[in-house]
Amino acid sequence: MTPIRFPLSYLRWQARDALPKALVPLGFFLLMVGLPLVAFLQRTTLAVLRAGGDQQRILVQTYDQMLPVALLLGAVVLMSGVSSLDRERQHVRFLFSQPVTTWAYYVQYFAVATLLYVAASALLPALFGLIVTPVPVVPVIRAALLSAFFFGSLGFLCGALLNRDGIAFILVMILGGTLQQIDAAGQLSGFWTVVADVLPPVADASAVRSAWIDGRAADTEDLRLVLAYSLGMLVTALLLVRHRPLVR
Amino acid sequence: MTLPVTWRTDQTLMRLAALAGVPRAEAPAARDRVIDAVEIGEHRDKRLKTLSKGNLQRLGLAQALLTERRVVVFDEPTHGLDPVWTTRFRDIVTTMRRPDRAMLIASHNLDELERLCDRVVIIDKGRIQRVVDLRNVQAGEGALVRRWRIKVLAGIDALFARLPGAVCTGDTIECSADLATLNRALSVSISEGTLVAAVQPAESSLEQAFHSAVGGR
Repeated sequence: MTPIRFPLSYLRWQARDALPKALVPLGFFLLMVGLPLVAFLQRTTLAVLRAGGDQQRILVQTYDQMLPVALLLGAVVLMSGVSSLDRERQHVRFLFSQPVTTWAYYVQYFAVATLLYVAASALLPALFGLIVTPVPVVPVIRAALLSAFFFGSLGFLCGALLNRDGIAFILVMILGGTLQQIDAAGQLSGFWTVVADVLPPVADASAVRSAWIDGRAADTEDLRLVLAYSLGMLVTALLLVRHRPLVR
Repeated sequence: MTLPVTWRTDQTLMRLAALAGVPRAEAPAARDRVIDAVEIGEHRDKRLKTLSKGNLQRLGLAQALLTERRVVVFDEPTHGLDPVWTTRFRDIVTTMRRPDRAMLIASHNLDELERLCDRVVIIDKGRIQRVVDLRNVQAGEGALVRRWRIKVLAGIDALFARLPGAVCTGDTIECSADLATLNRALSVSISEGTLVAAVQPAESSLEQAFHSAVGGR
């Protein structure tokens, strides 16, 4: 049996490749929350802003609205295109003509990308807390971890399965999220209920993430389903890169 | 070699060394050694998108030299190389030859394969058509009847008369003969005043094998 080889010495290069994607939430956040902050600071001082008042309230509202979007964006780009672009641009030729196990290479990339994404996401409440007003950091880290696991696995699965993975990823997200919301409202029946159940639990993942960010306890059943589905997608993606031809 | 075009030469070799399992402490020395070996030092800080086809090929060759490998695969290795580097490539491959190392060269250049390989597998329409062992071919070369092209400057009729089935076009004779017959005819004709400018095989033994394997195409 061929030994499993993790390209550990390639870790720093994978980190370098993953870093721009991991910084997406931070970039988005700085744009959406940083710009109003700069605008306010032209009229008032940081001390006044930190003391409270309407401007701080507006910034906290903006933070609450933009944080889930930033996390989602980062998680969506985290693994999208990773395996499909390696195939399409034929990078698999040099990556795997080396003593490297294919699935181990991607597991390692996933791990390092997730780590960077979670670290970058943790900076959002930390920075906001430092400048405007303290907000909890740990729930954001938990939400980022879950987002990375769920959307990262979904993105990886789409990339392992298809060459046009971006379209598939967006379709699954939109279709799954929409149908599951309608289903939750009891407005779905027949075939579409089955479709909503089979698609990855996008709505449940959003519900768990929102609950954590808002400081509430997440529904345990939803959390279990999201974790189980994420694990299933990840394992399927790894089996695909292990067994399907690398060039197709 | 297909590599991300935004990578720099230097960085590419460090990445490939890491993937190949070269210990991190040894990687810079390995990189510098192969950069020197394929003479791409002046391009080490350039992005791959700015490198010529020939320099990319040399980078691919450098990758193969990073570590001691038991199996090396070259895909069209001299495509895009200038004549000087085509020769250098052959020299490098020759120095890489070892009894415990298998080197596979995928190429459409039969001349290159004939110079470098022990065995040639002819593949047509995705299937192996023939395996030619060039060591056997070269050992039995003397008895092999081949087509020859002979350029004659003077006394062409005397040589033409001694080569049955030959075709004469201007100052060139084309004939089929084994080495012994050819040498006899040349020797006698030259002693009678024929002036021969060049003798060369009309096609190599590998070309013959190739044409017969793919049905004369």
